[in-house]
Amino acid sequence: MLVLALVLAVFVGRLVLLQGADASEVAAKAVSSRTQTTALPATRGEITARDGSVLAASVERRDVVVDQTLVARWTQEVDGEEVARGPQDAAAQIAPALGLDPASIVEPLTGTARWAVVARSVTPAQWRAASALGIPGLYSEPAPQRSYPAGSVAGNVIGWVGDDGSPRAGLEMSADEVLHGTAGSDSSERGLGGERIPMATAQRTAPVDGSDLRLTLDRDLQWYAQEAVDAQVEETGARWGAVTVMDPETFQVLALAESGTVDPNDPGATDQAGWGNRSLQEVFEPGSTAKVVTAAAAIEEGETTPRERLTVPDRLEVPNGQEFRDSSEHDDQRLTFAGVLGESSNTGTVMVGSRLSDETRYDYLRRFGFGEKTALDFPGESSGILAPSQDWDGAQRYTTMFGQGFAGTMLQSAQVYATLANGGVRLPAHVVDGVTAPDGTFTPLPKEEGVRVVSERTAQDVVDMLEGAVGTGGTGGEAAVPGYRVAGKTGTAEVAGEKGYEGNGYIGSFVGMAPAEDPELVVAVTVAHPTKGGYYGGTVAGPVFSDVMSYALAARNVPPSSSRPDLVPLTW
Amino acid sequence: MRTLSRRLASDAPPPLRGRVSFALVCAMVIASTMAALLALNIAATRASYAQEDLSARLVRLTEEQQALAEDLEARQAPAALEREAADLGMVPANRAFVSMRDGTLLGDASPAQPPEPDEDEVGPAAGAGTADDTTPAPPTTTGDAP
Repeated sequence: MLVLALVLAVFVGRLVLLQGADASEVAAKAVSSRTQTTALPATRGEITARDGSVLAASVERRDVVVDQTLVARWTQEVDGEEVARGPQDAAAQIAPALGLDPASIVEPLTGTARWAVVARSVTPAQWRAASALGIPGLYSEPAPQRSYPAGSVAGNVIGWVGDDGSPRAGLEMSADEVLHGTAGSDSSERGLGGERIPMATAQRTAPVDGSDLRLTLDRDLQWYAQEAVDAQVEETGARWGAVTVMDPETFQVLALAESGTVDPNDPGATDQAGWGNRSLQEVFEPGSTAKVVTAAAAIEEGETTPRERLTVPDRLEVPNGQEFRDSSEHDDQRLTFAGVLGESSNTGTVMVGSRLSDETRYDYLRRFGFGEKTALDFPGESSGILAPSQDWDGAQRYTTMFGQGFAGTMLQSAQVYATLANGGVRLPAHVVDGVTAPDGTFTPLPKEEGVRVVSERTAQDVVDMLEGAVGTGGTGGEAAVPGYRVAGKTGTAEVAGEKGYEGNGYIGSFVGMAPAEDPELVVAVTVAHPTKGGYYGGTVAGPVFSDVMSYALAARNVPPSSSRPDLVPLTW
Repeated sequence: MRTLSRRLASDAPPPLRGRVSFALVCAMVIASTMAALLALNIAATRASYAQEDLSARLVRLTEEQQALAEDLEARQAPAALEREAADLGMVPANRAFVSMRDGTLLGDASPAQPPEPDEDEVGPAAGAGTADDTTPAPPTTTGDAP
């Protein structure tokens, strides 16, 4: 009797304690043990080309992990008879579901560890097939992956994301803020099977998915340009090549292609030297393609006209004793200024360029975009090398007239021609068209004001002269596009080395626009250090220009030119 | 005296039968409330299980949709299309236009020729070799390197 009373007293006392004294504490502990908080990851935004085709997207993948002790004890019975047991048989059944060779997964299934990785990055469908086999101990962990369905197309622009999901290069890195979104969380009380307990405490913060990035790149044109320049680099034994295509009316970049583009699905397959973006990071002296800056400046300042008659020697000595030569010996030529540009005469360019002061020519070089980064805002982009005119030495005063003595990127060169094609107004170059929010609203990139560099009249004069460069007598014959009027300029720049310009190779370029009567496209081609065959810009870069430009014109439904060029004579 | 006893009689507790029925009514109210509560709780829990099932179904369908979208994008990639086209025996067309205004053909309207066997991608016909005599040589400089 007394014992009973004592036991009862203990129970009652405990009850009073639990319900009375410790009530809130115990209740809180109970709630927290029932509550599960899961992070709700945000889906990373896609990167698409101008037509919406996907260049980068996040996809669901799973890592398959195993509790080896459970697999070791596993047996499978059919009609009371044992048909399979252990890791070997498990591997034989699991491997086909995962699309793997059975021999490769036997090892991770064997052992005494409670956790081991069997396979990484399997698709959800493969995981379902594997888990449906009913082999105990097999689990999966989410392992989201970034996929680049177009392969290496625009790989050097998009960049890629590392294994841990952090961006490593290109737009994935510079536009990460836009792409990555915000993770949410879901905190609720759950039953044993994971189902929510209704009417219990629950808190859910929805994840905000990343926004999609739409580029101005034309995916097919980008691919075509990559293929074309790859082929030419191989044909000429060059170190690298690049093609840039721009729309001069909007300064949208339609293609930013280079040879040996990295495939973001597998960056390791390409040498680190190819991980950057050559069009924006390779800095080289542009050579004769930059003569248009001198020409535009001289015409704008009223120092010359396309028809001015000049007598151009093959070597010219300037007041400070420097001597400049044309590439080949010749008697004094009777060239118009249009002929000086069309035949790419160094001496003629120096004759006319000397009429302008250094500061004036430096000013025009800056206004055309040399010496500062473009508006692309791309990671690692170079601003080029352009010293202020007061720092120019005796040689640079003159070499800058024909594109040596300063250095720039391909995009800067393309920008110059796009400015001329756009009637003398330079707009900010851009490769991002706009951003699409998760709810579907598209916000275009804010338009910025352009800069008037030269008058419309001057720009037209220069473009007219450039048509002559592609015609008979000009250096750019191989860049011609059948059926269309083309205006452009060849360039063959010597590469500077420690001991001057000899023997360091050449960089051949062609930059031009079409149709010349109303340019719709500007294409710049560069082939660096060709070793087989010729090295002149017209020879190595001209054919690529012709190919890419004719493809781009057809793709954009630009009809062939219906008018004939009205060329300024090159000679008199 | 008689009124008092009648009042007292009316103050007496109600007959046993009335008490029982009142208690019964109360009990029924309580019972039905409990039953309703139970029913609601069961319904809520069932809905929770249903929600779990639907969530799982949503996940499966989303995965399927993503897998199909992935497949589509891979097939649409330019390199893949070129390969498929080549396998079908297709040939890149010459670039020609039909002018709707005049009804004329512009550009090269001749039938396209298959590419040469050793060149399985559309590349430029590079002009390898030495430059023409008529093409002036590129500019060089004899100045000091900057």
